[in-house]
Amino acid sequence: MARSLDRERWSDAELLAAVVVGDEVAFTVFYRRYLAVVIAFLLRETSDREATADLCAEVFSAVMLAAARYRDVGPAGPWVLGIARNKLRASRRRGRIEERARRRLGFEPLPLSEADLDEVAALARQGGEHLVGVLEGLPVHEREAVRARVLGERSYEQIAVDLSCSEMVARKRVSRGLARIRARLEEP
Amino acid sequence: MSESYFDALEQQLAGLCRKRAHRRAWSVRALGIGSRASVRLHRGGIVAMVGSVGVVVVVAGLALGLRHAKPPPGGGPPTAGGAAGISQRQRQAAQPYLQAAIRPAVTASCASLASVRGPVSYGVPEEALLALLGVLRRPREPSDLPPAGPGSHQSIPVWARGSYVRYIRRARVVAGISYYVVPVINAGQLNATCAAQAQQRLRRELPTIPGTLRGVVWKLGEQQLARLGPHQGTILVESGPNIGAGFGGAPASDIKRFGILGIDGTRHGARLVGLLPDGVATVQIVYPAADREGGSSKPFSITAPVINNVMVCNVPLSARAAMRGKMIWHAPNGTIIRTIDQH
Repeated sequence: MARSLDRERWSDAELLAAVVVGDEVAFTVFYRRYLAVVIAFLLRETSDREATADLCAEVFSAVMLAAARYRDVGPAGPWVLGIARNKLRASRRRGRIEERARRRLGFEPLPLSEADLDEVAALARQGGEHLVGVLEGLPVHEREAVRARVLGERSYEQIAVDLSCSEMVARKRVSRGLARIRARLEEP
Repeated sequence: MSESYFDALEQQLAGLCRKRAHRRAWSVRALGIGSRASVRLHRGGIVAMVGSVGVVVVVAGLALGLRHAKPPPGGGPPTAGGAAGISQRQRQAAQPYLQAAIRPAVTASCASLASVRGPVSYGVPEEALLALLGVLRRPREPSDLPPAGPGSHQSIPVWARGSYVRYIRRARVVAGISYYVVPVINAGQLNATCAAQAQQRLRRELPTIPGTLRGVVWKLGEQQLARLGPHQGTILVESGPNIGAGFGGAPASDIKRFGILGIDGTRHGARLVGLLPDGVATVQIVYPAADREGGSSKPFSITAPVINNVMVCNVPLSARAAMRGKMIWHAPNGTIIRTIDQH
């Protein structure tokens, strides 16, 4: 019998709305949808598998806390990566892995084995292919702008200087690139 | 074999997701938050669409997509029950579950309105509707007979099929366009069997829905199915040279709370038409300043009289922007009867 409440088919916005009311299945689907991409991003930034695993727990805890504020209707990929970027930045600023979201949730620390660290690398490869594939699919000027903004955390002013264009054009390129990424992440 | 870090992470977070929702539900109850009525307008009203020649825009649903109805000042409860105590957030969260359970029922084979509606009735519409709309209670006049169109059957225009034909009333003529109030025998989108099947599906899925939301989903599901299933309704039809459109399909209970509002127009200007219950003398529509959806650069409002339960007014906005106004119903003495906000 077909399951009419097959959450795999739900959009990110629907899943997050369900997470707010405590739908653990919806959370699981969302988690599996973005786990590899988040790990790929974090490992790329930290080059540290242990820190990546630790931060990943923090990112998804923050996703749960922030789910009620998600207002977009498209794929939540850029939103999740934005949370990951913020957590990374906060961790760097404080000199230790951020854990505020986990503390708020009452999260119990999890042991990390060597096999888990291997899994981090495997998931990162899987998510990285997805990320790179999506990024590589963008037109060159949009790819550079998105890379500088999302991965490089550069201001629009800096991007405009780097790409020899006006700030407004830089904003437009980032915005169009993100919209294209959203559309591609939506593809099955 | 022990589970991996990421499996354990998934399990722990999923568990926290459920617990957190429970905790919040309790704290909300303790604080009494969300007890204020917030009524969502139903969007599923049928649109009986008839074209003489050029068909204009048809509003798929009632009342301009307006979502909230505020109770009248003085703190009284909303007029009709069922929706009180359900917050907007709960409604949003309930939507995916409702769609998953009910959407499969809305299929062509389930439609009770096969092509156009069935034969007319010479009977009397339900009492609730007659009590609500004075225009239906007045004696029938020769001008109430709708003009026979090219697709007419026994001198009845297509849009009058399935109606209580003796109770069709031409309420107004504005700028050469006639506005007819048409009570119909069945304005539902689903036949009774399919509505019952959808209800069974919803009941079956209840155990998989988080406990904090189960009651809300069931209540909203019953409301939706009542509107989708067979029920008497009313359509506001506009008919004139090069124009023909129908709006609404709402049952009497919804007309009492929200009226029926339709819109047609282009990017440059829109015409709002509305069917209002007895007691509403004027309708004021308040538009906010433009946002990314468009609109006027400054906030403004338009007030239109309600004659024979029908309101017609032109709005200098695109049809899309014209749908975003806040509607205020005024009594003959100027007091506010009801405010319906889209936000």
